[in-house]
Amino acid sequence: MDLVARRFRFLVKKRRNRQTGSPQVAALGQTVLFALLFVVGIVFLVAVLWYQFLPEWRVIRNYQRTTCVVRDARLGQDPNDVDRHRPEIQIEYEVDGHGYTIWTYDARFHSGRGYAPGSQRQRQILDKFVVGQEYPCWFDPKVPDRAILVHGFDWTTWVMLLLPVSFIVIGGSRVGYIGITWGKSTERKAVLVQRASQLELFEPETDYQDDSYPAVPEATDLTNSPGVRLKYRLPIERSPTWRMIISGMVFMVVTAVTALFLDIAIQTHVANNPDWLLTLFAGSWLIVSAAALSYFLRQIVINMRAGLTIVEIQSHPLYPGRQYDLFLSQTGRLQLHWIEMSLCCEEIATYRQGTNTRTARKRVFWQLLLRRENVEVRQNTPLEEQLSLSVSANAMHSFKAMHNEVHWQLVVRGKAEGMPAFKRQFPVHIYPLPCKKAAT
Amino acid sequence: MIQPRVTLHLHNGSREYQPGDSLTGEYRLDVVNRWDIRAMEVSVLWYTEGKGDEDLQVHYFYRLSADDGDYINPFRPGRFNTKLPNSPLSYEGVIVKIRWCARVRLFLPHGKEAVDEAIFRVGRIPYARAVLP
Amino acid sequence: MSCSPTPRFPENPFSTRKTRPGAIPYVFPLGIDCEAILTRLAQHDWRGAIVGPHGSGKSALLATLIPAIKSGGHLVVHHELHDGQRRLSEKTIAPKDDADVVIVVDGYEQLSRWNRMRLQHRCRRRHWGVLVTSHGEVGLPTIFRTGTNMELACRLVRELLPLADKTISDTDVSAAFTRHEGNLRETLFTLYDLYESRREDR
Repeated sequence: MDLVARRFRFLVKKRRNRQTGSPQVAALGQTVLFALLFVVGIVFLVAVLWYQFLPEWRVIRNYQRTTCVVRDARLGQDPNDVDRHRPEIQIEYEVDGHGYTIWTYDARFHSGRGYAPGSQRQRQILDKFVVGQEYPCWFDPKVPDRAILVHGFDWTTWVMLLLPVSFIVIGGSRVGYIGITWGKSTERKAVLVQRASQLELFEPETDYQDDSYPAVPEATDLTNSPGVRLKYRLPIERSPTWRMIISGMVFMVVTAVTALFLDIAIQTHVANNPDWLLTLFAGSWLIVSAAALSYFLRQIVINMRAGLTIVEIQSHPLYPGRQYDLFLSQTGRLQLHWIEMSLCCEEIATYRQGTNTRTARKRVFWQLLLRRENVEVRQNTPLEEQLSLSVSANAMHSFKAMHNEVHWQLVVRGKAEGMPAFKRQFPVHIYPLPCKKAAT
Repeated sequence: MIQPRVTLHLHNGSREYQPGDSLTGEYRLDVVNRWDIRAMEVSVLWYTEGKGDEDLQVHYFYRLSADDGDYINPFRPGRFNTKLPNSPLSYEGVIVKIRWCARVRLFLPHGKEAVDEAIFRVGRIPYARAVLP
Repeated sequence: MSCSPTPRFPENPFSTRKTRPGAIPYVFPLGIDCEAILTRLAQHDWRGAIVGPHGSGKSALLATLIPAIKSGGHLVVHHELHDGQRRLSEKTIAPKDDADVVIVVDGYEQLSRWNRMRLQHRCRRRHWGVLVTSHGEVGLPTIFRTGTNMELACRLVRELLPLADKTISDTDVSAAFTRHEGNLRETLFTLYDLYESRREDR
């Protein structure tokens, strides 16, 4: 969720060069994305219904059955495309004593559609009708000179329905889920307003002469999201939601391409002029689409089940030798085998290797702050833990230069039943003690 | 011919400082002729060492140039004094190290230079060790 | 982080500061020196390429050649290309006057074919020299091929290590060199980690 805020810049509030990722705005971004998916599905569904289902529905609902005699049969050519044809049968029938002789075939005939690639399939259809023989037909009582020889849905129509339905289900379910959780965020806003006045103020260090910290990252980048239980909510680093969003986009693109190839391939089969190479190609795309869907659904499940991990802290930046209250909340629907929170420090060194740039990382500190095992997290009952963090008096402060960095973070890891282990990282900044305090 | 030299000396013998401390020192020039000195620079800076490309930031810088009309007396020791900042502290990491040093550089004729530096420590951060993931 | 006695600013001899191009003088093969390479370059109208595999010292050789080119009265404009940089900055490619110029490009293959042609054309038109590094033939005369061997690696390591420092042995060098298939840069990075892990004062 935070990745939406970080990647779509117009959606986020910015502090200097840092995007902070407001969860509410990120949720809006997510909603927009899945709403788009939903809308695409709706549009596609409407198209299928209009062009495939509606004509047949009118026939089923309004037309009356009678008997006709076939007088002639021919292969009709699409005036816009010489390679597309349709069967055209001339029939003779009577309605209320009046005789009618018309060219017709199916429900799409009279709207100028029903053409398909090739002609072999159409000729086979024509061969089924013997000139001079009687056949049932259906006419429109309001427009008696409009009649058809065949009606009903075939399997291709049902296949074409599957695609938009899948879009609607995926997009709609996620929009619905966000809507449900959005309601909670709104309540949380009210709590924030109520509690803001009750939060302890951070006691600023006023007894040192110079309050600048060269080569130490700005603490304000991490403190512009107020917490609910404690003063600040820490932003997440490298949100797992990006994987879900990317996989969703990939699935949409792959499915669109698959649908295109599949439609063309099916048409060739319907026209009794099967293109097997194209069918094979479309089939391979179908497999890719199925795999993309599977991965995408898996990411949705992981994100929906794992839910949000929230870390709040009493005060920021941190200083060596001090203790801080932390709050951890894990939402979702999980049967956790274990969950743990730790404080880590990594050295990060960037170096040029010939014409490439590479980065080396080395962990130099790790402290377990919390571990719980066999915990059940329910939809409306998140796991919540209050804990304490003591920063060692000897801790090296955060450091950031162009090629080298000392990076501190709180790491939440967990493993739940039926899903891979998850890991969420929350950067923190440790500042050196102010001059006067350091000297004592 | 004796090559000109410069020696740098920090007044704090232990070379250990805290943020906000005054760093004082002096430098002595060992030159035969003051016309040998085209320019002189005194700097206090930190730099990184380790696996990454070097980062460097100068905290204090002072330059005298004969071309600009500055008088450089080779027979009298020069002094410098600066207040150390809050950060960064000296750090002996595994792949990232942060070092502070004072440096004096003499610019001599024909593109030659004479340099001396004194590394000192700011803060008391202990050695870091790699921790297994 | 645990407490330790006051450190004495120990240095890792394999840190980037000590091993970057220019920090270590290039070790020429027998019978070759800087002057010989520059003579070859001059014979090819100051147009040439230094060719060699990854980590074989091309940038290090450039760092040795550039001061010598400058001391010969040439103006050197040096470009280092990284990470898919496909073009040279227009501001830096063109010296302000028509001085005796040699354009040096480290990582010539990063340039797109079009930008390579542009550079060549400009250098010919202005009578500038051009000296590049690459992993393969790039249409310029090859004036030197860099290469590495175990003996060179051991020699470099002995020069980097302080006197009487036995932390890294020739066996260690040999193992790292073999593992990295002759890439000296990777070898030195590995030796950095090894040295760091073996330091007694930790």
